[in-house]
Amino acid sequence: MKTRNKFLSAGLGFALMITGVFGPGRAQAVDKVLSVSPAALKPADFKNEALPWVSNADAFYFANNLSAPVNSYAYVPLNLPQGARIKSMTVHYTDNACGVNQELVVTLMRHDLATGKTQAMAWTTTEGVPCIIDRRLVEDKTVTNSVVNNARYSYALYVIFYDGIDRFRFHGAVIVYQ
Amino acid sequence: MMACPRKALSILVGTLLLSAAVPCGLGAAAGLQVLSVSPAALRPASRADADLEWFGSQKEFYFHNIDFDNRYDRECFAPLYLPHRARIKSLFVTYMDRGCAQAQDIWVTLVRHNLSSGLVQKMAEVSSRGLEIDPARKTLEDATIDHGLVDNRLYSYSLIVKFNYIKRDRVRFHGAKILYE
Repeated sequence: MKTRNKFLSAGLGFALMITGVFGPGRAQAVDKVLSVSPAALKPADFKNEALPWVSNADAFYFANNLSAPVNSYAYVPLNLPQGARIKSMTVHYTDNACGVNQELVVTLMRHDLATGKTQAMAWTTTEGVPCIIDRRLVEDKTVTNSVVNNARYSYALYVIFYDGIDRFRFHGAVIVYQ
Repeated sequence: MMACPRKALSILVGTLLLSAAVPCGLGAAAGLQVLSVSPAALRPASRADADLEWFGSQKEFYFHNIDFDNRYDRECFAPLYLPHRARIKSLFVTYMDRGCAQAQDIWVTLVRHNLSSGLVQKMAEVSSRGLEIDPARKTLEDATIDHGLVDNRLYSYSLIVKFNYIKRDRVRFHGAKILYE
């Protein structure tokens, strides 16, 4: 009788392991991915709206005068799933601008609907990577305040084009969450 | 006394082994889901285009050109948030085309954009080409989808709406539906 029970217990343990109730695969939740099209960007306000922005399926940028570039700002509203845990943000960009101050800064932000306080959750910059014509990517895996709570916060990507000219462009972002 | 728990244990083992043979998510038939695209999601493609007379609301998007000697074509874009790993089955577009010229029509293209290489590829497309001159709302469908599997790690997705040979306000985009599994 004892041998039979041992056999059944072993069988049960094996079955639980291969079905994933226990075992190595169970602990790891599946990553979900949101991609943000550059067509989703909007100039931040009427002043930025009046600048010569360009937005299509593969890029968003401000084509300000090369000799008189200005800091330019844009936003993307985000609808993130309630309770999701943000794991990382990756930004695809081109930074072929050679000026010291010319860079692209992208921040994933949450905004407390009750208090108005805004907090950065993830942050990337192209600082120090000038004059490169190729597309590149930067990633931030150190996400703070990472659990999405739509009852209290709204979410957005904030994109700053420091000394914005058409030589640096936002091509999209990827947000990984569980 | 021992037979009952043992039997229960055997049934449990059998059930678990059976369920292990069906990979999670594949056992049930995948249901068809729908994403609707509001015309309010469309935006002109640039500052220069935004200076034209355009109208975007919850029911329609269109340009209004009263300079009849200067008809123009314009593209607008709507960002799409498609679920990762969804399989696109078809694109439906609702529009109105009462343009009186052969060239006056609307083209709607679902595209994916490779974030690393910049390559933009057509996935589905419909158009109202031809002479319609009909004020009724109509719907076009494209069920022949290329690159139908959504991969948000590598691509972003957009809808391109092109208004050709714009005169007055006679061609309008009323919305789109994307069916996926």
